[in-house]
Formats: sequence, structure tokens, C-alpha cells
Amino acid sequence: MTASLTSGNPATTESPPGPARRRHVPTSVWTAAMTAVLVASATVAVTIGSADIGALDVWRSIGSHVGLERVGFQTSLSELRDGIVWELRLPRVLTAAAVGAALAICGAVMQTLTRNPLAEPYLLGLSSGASVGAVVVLVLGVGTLGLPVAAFAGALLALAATLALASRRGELPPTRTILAGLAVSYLCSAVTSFVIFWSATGDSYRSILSWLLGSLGGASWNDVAVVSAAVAVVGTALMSRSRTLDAFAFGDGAASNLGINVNATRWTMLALVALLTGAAVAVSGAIGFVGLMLPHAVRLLVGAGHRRVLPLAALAGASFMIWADTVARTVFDPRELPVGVVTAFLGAPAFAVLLRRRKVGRA
Amino acid sequence: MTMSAHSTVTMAHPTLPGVRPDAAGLRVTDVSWSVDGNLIIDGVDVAVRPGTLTGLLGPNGSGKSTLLRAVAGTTRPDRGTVALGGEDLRSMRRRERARRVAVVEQEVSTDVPLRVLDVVLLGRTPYPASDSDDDIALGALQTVGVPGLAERDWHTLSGGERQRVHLARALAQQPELLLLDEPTNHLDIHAQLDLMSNVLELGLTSLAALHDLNLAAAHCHQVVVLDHGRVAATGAPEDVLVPTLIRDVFRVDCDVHPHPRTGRPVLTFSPL
Repeated sequence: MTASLTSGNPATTESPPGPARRRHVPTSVWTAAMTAVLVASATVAVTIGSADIGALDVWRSIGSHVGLERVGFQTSLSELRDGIVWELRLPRVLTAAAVGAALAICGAVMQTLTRNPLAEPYLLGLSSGASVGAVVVLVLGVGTLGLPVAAFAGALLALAATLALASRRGELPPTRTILAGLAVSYLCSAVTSFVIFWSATGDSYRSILSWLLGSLGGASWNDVAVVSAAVAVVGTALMSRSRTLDAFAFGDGAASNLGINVNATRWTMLALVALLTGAAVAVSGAIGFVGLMLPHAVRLLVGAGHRRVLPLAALAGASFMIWADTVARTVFDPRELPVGVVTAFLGAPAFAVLLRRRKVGRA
Repeated sequence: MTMSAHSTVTMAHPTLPGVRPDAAGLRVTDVSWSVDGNLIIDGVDVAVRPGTLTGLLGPNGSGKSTLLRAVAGTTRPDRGTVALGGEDLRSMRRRERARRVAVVEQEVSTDVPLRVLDVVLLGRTPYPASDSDDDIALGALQTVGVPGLAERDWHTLSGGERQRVHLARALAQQPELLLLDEPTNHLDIHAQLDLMSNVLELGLTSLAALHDLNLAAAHCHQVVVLDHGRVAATGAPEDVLVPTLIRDVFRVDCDVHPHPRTGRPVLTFSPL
């Protein structure tokens, strides 16, 4: 029942005095700065590519499409260039931004609710589960709306499987959770590959790659709408529970003592996370490590309070994803690298750093 | 010196600080809880007078933590009632209960980067967000004697400082009852004494599970000894902590001497 007095616990030994970590920069400044970076990133990313488009052209195109011409806004953009901006590049960049925001929010919330610094949709198998759902629906040929719904169902099932595999006496030891996520993830990836290979007539390898490692190629305004709506609705719902999320910092027992219904809260919020993951994966495939890195980076800047972390992680995730996708579509132009390859190049080292720093192996 | 409800208690324990006579008392009646058919606590009665500190003693597995969890509402006892100031705690909503009852556990830790003030502010979770939250949290840090820690990174604190911050967090809940589950575990002797006198000075109705019998004898108004889930003895430390009971419950021999300075019982142990 009670821990023995002799068991040395590294967490409670005297810690060396460290300098006070003060947040000199107010959160509003970070928010403004990251919003500016996002707008600039999106603008610049649209200009990058084989056709020569300037930053002004981007805003001219946007201006003409949102109806500014009627109020005297002059656009001197050719139909071809306008088409490149409005039909090809802008939807892709905005989809990337929305997917990045979604994954970063999911990662931040999952890390809190599982008390595992390595938790994120990809590593715990949600993304692969969502891919299975999406691919099955594509093969069955159920309409566009079925895609995110099936991806959500897949993510939810994968999450339930991971947590059921990982939990031991009502707890989720970090290492077990990652291993369980890995097992679920591999199984789901295998199912995705199998279904595509079995059903496909054309280039199945490319299709498999884009579901397993992510791709934003061919993103449409429809995709922008699906993911943005999910980010807006689910993101707002999660942010409105910031104080509740904060209360999980010292574990389930502490949260319960602060008046939180731990189980109901955890399952509601993880279901919301699965929903958001499903929406993201339905348009982009499984993209890893974005949900891992960005929340940690943002916490280093503004501390762990979710009222600050969630919006800033979303903004940072959006900008990050825009650049990851820009790299993915330009380095081997005209061939495209799966965007998950780019995020893994940056994310795997971040994973290694977290693994060493956070004593995750102590489970 | 005038005799009041306040001074009766301080007269009984000349070395302990006074109690707050306006505080609510705790009454645990006939509480039982079993897991898989094994009774972990069995018909336990505990009464804590308003504003006093009661020490919950007993060997490992005697049911101390289970009883605390039943009082905190984390586990629902199979039988019995828990009343604070005459109100049934079990029928209260979680959030309402968290405004009345605060818990300080042994060495709880976190991975996330938090300022000390953020940790104390967690104590405001059961209340609607308010502009006065920061002031309440800073006041709580002041009360436990560490106002200077507010901006520090929680991870840079020593074990003793962490427990004080958790005590401040509990105070920010503005509770009527304070529950402590072996709060001095892993603390050095200075930090142990500091924390216990801090708890006493608060004058809150408090129930603390403690391993160290001498710490309990020196600080508690009353001790309750649990043995295999049942109450073996209840009363003032000098009446309860006697060699026969220590031998029966803890399976060690012991001698009891008065403390040379405070007169409170000091126990020295030897194997049976």
C-alpha cells in the first residue's frame, strides 16, 4: 500500500539550485509573432514552385476570389497564374497548415492525458488506424463525406487498442504505451498496404506510400474545408477545457482530488483527438512527429499551461507543416517526397532527445 | 489567561499551536471497503475535532491510504459515512468536494515544465476562473513560508520545497479539511519538521497518514492506529503510543520517554 522508505526515487532527491526560468515575453507577443510567421510562410510557400509567382500575385489572386474587385480592388493577374495560385498551390498550402495545426493540438492533448512526453497520433497508432479507415472507404467507394468519418472510426479503434494493450493496473506506463502504439501502428500499416495492393489497378506503391508516410499532393478546397472545420470545432472544444487539462499535470489521482472526473474527461478528450486526427489523416495520410515536436517546443517558450500551449502549438504546427510540405514537393522536383519523410528527418532526433531527457525508460 | 475553546486545546498540548475554533470537524463512521472480497478497511470510526491534526498510524497495508482515499472520495466505500461539518461528503459533487477537501500526497511529480505559481494555481481548478486567483495563490505561498518561490521552475525545487508548494496548492483550494498521505516521505529531517509545523500552524482540520511515530507523537493532537483495517486505538499520543500497543501492532519492542524540552512522548525501538 505504501512505498517503502528505502526506495530511492530520483524525482525527489535534492535537486541542484537552478536559475529561475522567467517568461520575459508575454504570450500575446508570441501569438502575434507566430500568426505573422504563419501568414508569411503561407504567402512565400505559394510563390515557390516551377511557375514564377510573386508574393503580390498571391494576394491579388486571393483578393479577386473573395470579391474585392467589386469594391475597386485592381487585379492584373493572368488566368493561368491565377489558376496556379487559387486552384493548385493555395489549397495545398492551406491544407498543410490545417493538418499541421490539427496534429500539433492532438499531440499536446495526448501528451497531457497519457502523461507521456512521447505521445502523439502517429506514434500511438491513431494515424495508421485512421489510414485504414480511409483506405477501406476509398476501396468501397463511399462518398467524400465518408472518408473523414471512417478515418475517425479507424483512429478511435486504434487508440482503444493501443491503450488496452498498454494499460496495466489502470496505469499507462510510458514505455509500454509506445510499444503498444508501435504494434498497433505496424498492424494498421500492413492492413492499409494490403487493402491498397489488393484493390489497386494503377500505381499502388505510390498510393501506399502516400497513406503510410503522408502526402498533400492534390489537396483541394474541399480538403481545406474539412480539416479547417475540424481544427476550429475540436480545437475550440479542447481549448475551452484548458484548465481541466492543466489539472492532469501531477497525474490522475491529483486531478481527481481537484474535482475532475478523470475517466470521463480522458475518454471524451481522446475521442475528440481521434476525430481531429481522422480529419487530418483523411486528407494527408499518416504524418509523424509533428504532434511530438511542436507542443514540446511551444512549452519551452511559454510553459505548460494549455490556454497558452494549444493555440501556439496550432500556429507553430501550421507553419512547420507548410515548410515541410514545401521541401517535400521541391527537393526532387518534379518528383515528390512523401511529406512524412521530411517530418521524420527532424522528428526522429527530437524523439531521441526527449527519450534521453525525460526518463521515459523508467517505467 | 482566559479559558476559551481555543485555549483548552493549547492547554492540553502546550507545545502545539492553537486551533481555529470556527473550522469544521470530520466524522468518519463505520467505513468499510473491500477489494476482491478482502476487507481492506473494516468498520473504521474516526472523529477529528475542528482545527486539529490527527495522525493516522499503522504498519504497511493497515489501510491508512485506503481510508484517506475513502475520505477524499477517490474510492467509494462499501459502507459507512464521511461527514464534514455535519455534511455528507459522499453525496457531494466532485467539484464541490474539491472546494472542501484538499489532499497532499507523497512525492507526486510531473514531466511538464511548470512555474511554482502554476502549480499553486492548480488549487483553483474547482472554482470558476477569477482575477483574484493569482492573489490567492501568492497568499498561499506566503502562508507556507515560501513567497519567493513563485516564479521558480518547479523542477529546480528540493523535495522539501516541492511538498511546501503542494501544501500551498492545497491551501489555494481554500479547504475545510486537509488530508495528507505520508507527506514527509523522502524528506530530510529539517524538511520533515518544517512541513509538520507548517501544517499545524494552518489550524485546519487535518488528517495525516504518517509512518514516523515520533513525528506523529510530536505534532498530532490525536492519533488513530490502524491494524489490519481496523482501529486499534484512538486518543492523545501519550495515551495511545504505549509499549503494549506498539508491540501488538508494529511488532517491535519500544521504550517511551518524555521529550527533554517539550515533554511529548519520544519512542525508541528495539526488535522483539
